[in-house]
Amino acid sequence: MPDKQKDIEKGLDNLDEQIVGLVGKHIKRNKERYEKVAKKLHAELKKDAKRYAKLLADEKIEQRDFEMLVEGRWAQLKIELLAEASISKNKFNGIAADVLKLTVDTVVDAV
Amino acid sequence: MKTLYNKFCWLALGLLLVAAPACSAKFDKTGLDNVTNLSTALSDLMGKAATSKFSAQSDAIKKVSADLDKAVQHAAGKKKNKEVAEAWKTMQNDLVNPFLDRWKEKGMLDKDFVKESTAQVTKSLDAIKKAEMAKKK
Repeated sequence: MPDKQKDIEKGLDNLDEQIVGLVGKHIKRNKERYEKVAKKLHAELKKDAKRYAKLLADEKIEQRDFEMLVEGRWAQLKIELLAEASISKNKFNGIAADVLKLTVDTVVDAV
Repeated sequence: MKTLYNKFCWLALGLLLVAAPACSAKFDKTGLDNVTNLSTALSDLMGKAATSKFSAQSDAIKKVSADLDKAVQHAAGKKKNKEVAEAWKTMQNDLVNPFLDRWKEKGMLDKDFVKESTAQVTKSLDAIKKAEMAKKK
C-alpha cells in the first residue's frame, strides 16, 4: 500500500508542466495570469487529492468514492473562485475540466 | 490641449464613479439567511450518512433538498448575481446531489468519505457566505 501511495503522489507531482500546457490550449490573451491561476488551482486540488488517495490506498474508501471526492473538490474550488469573482467562468470551466481529468487519470492509473 | 485632456479625465472618473455602484449586487438578506440555515442543515444531514440508512432519513433529505432548491432559485432570480447563482447551482448539482445519490445507492457511507464530502460543502458555503456579505448594504 505505501508503494501505491508513493506512485499516486509522484504522478500528481509530475502533472504541473502539463497543467501549464493545458492553459495554453484554452487561453491566448493574458496567458501568464491564467497559468498562475491554474497552477494555484492545481496545487490546492493536489494537496487534497493526495489525502483522498491515501484513504483509497488504505482501503478506507472505494474507488468511486475517491473519484467523487476529486470531482467534489473541483466543484468546491469552482465555487470559491466564483465567489471571489476573480476569473471569468467560461475560461475557468475549460481549464479546470481538463485539469480534473488529468488528475483523476493519473491517480487511477497508479491504483 | 492639456485642459481638454484634464476635462476628459474628470469626465471618465465621474462616469466610473456613477457606474460602479450599478455594477455591484445589493445586499440580500434572504441569500445570507439561506447560507446560514443550509450550513447547519446540510452538515447535520450529511453527517448522518455514516450511521443511518438513506431510507431512515428520507423526510429530512426531502426537506433539506427542497430548501436547497429554493436557495438556488432565489439566487438565480436576483439581478447582477450571476457568480453567486452559479456557485449555488454548482453546489447543488456537483456536491450535494451526487452525495445523496451515492447514499441512496449504498444505504450507508464510509465515515471518511462523509467527513471529506461534508468539509467540501461547508467550505463552499463559507465562500458563498463571504460573497453575500461583501455585497453593498
